[in-house]
Amino acid sequence: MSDHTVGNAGDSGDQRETRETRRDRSERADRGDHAERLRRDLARCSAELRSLNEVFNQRVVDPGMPGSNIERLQRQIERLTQRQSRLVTELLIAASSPSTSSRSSSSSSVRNREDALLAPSEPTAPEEPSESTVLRFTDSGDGASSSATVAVRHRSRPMRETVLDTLAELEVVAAPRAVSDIAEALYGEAIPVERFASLRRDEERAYINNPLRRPVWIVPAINCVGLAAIPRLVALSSWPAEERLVGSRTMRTAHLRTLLRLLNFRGRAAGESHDLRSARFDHLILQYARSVPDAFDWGGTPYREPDGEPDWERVAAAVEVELAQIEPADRVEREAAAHRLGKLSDRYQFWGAPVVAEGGQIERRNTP
Amino acid sequence: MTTKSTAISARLARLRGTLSAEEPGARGLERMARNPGCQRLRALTIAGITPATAVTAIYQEPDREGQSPFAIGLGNRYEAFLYGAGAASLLQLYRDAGRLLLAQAKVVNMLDLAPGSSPYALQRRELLTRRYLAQKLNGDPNAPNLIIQARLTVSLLGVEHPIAPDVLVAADTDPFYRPAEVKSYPDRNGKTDPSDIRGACRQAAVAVVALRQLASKLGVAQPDQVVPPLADLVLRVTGSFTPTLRPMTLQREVSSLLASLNQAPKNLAELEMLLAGVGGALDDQATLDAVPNRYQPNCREFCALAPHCKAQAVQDTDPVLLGVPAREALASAGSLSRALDLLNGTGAPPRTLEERALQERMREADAERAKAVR
Repeated sequence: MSDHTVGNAGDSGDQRETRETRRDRSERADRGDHAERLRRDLARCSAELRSLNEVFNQRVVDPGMPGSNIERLQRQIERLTQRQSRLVTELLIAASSPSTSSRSSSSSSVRNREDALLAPSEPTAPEEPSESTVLRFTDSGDGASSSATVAVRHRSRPMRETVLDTLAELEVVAAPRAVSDIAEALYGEAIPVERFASLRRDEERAYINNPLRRPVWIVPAINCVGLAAIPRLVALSSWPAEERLVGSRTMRTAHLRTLLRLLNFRGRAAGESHDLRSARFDHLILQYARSVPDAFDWGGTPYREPDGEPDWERVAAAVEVELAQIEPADRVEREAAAHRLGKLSDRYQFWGAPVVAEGGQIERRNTP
Repeated sequence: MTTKSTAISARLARLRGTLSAEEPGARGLERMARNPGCQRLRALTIAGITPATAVTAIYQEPDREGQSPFAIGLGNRYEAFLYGAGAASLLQLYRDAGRLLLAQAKVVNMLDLAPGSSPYALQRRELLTRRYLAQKLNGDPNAPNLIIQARLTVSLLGVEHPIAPDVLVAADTDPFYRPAEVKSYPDRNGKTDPSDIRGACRQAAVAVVALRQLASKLGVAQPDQVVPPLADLVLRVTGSFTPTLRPMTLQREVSSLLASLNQAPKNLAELEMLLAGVGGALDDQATLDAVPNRYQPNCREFCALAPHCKAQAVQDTDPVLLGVPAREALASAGSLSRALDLLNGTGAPPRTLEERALQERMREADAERAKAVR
């Protein structure tokens, strides 16, 4: 219903016009703020890419540098480039989007934005989500922190966007509980874990209705054995197949990679002199690092509490040691499964192959 | 299903009468071995009726068995903690114990590979478990180190009964898997409730038997060499979810369970003869009462029929009401009331030499008691 026809009974025409003018002005101010935030984020993203490329150049010419380190850095650069593309597209849309009243559903404005993203005439139509502007860290490469960043959240940000952003930060498959905990630490937004089941069903239903409707989907992880979905783990459809597959070592490597990301987040938050922000990550890091050998010196009690102040660099080093032992074999298993997955239809590549029971019957799934 | 097992299933269905078959699970199978002298419990387990169903459906009594909802909730939370984050806590536990090396982090959770409880999912878990165990027997280095919620079967009278051991664990150098039972009981060292430990050990013994049976099917000539009578108990530190690891030897438990399973065909034939004489099926109260029981005080640890059987023992003045040693000592009297008659000289005089000997022993003991309290 258009806001131009909505009004309280008994309102005069002047009162309605005043309300509409105030609303339009507010929307214009919002759009201006939004564009400004996008430019700031783009500047930070560009600076981060520049420093990553410098590190990449140094590593490439270092004969002692393992290829796996270079490959990991390459993937980070690719993801950052994709994020930069998304920000540019959002900036273009923000600059060109028509006035819409605040009463229009947020879903329709998102749809408008997504339709704009998918329009064939758009030269920069990306395949990435229109992520809301949120906390972004910069890394100048030498450990020095950037100027302070503050979590910027849209009013009542949809759960889907928070999940998208959190997974984009984590870069590994994750359980809903982990996504919820980390989103709360990153953005101060708690996601109810019980809503993930309906989110998963809605995503698949929307994909089946129109696969091109969204550039990125929240999809289940896929197991390497039968290429079926693992509903209790989530991933992003924009990730390469091997990053969405789960082998016998993957949950462990994902746990360790998540821990490294948490240490990274903490380090940057601490650099902003916001003790409260870095403390949000301490509890999570302790929880994740409990199972990492040599991450801490444990006290004498059976409750496994670290003895003394944690040494975060020691934790990171211990994680890298374990990753070096298990990640190569994990990658081999996932890449082999990715090769098999690539032979399936797009739908099964994202949502998992159907489970075939003995006798050839296909198990019916809950989604249409 | 083979012809033989179809025939067995038909016989069991006749024994059950109108009641549907229920899977005994590991608890039901180990329960049968706990009181091998109780024909009633064996009859119900063989026929596929749980004691809880017997209490409610046959005796029409309230079922007082079962854990409290709090205990069940705590157990579920503890398992979720252990299995979460790629079983990080379990890996840490086995690494600290020196059982798994750093690189041995291959964890498979059947609930992820075949989620849900549909027949397809359960069948798939069984197939995947068999595949992984075959992989291990073949010495494949990619065989998992931890399998969570595997699905095995135990053969009883040719019918395969599924069980789901909590965890199967094997280092890369181990020839095969060892079961681990996860319990949320606090680990109080030697002061942990012995009945809790007994129950957990017996359930683990069922998993040992299941692994041996599968190893045999996969072509292992001596399954007891590949699957020794060993298991792990995973309890928790009091007041926290920090796990503790207790390796246990289960020779006695495994032996009693195997004896119980091996005796089942003879038991089935005897049971059919008994019921043919009574003229009913086990779903009838009078018929079930005609099947002899053997109540003992620890029955309440594992059998829902314990209150019913105890009431019967009270009615019969069974000497076991004073404890198992009393049952043996007063066996020749057969009941407490007869024993009192013999002691006091009331009722009929001793009918047998054993009764006379018992009378003399009791009177001597009574005289000693009177002298002591004077």
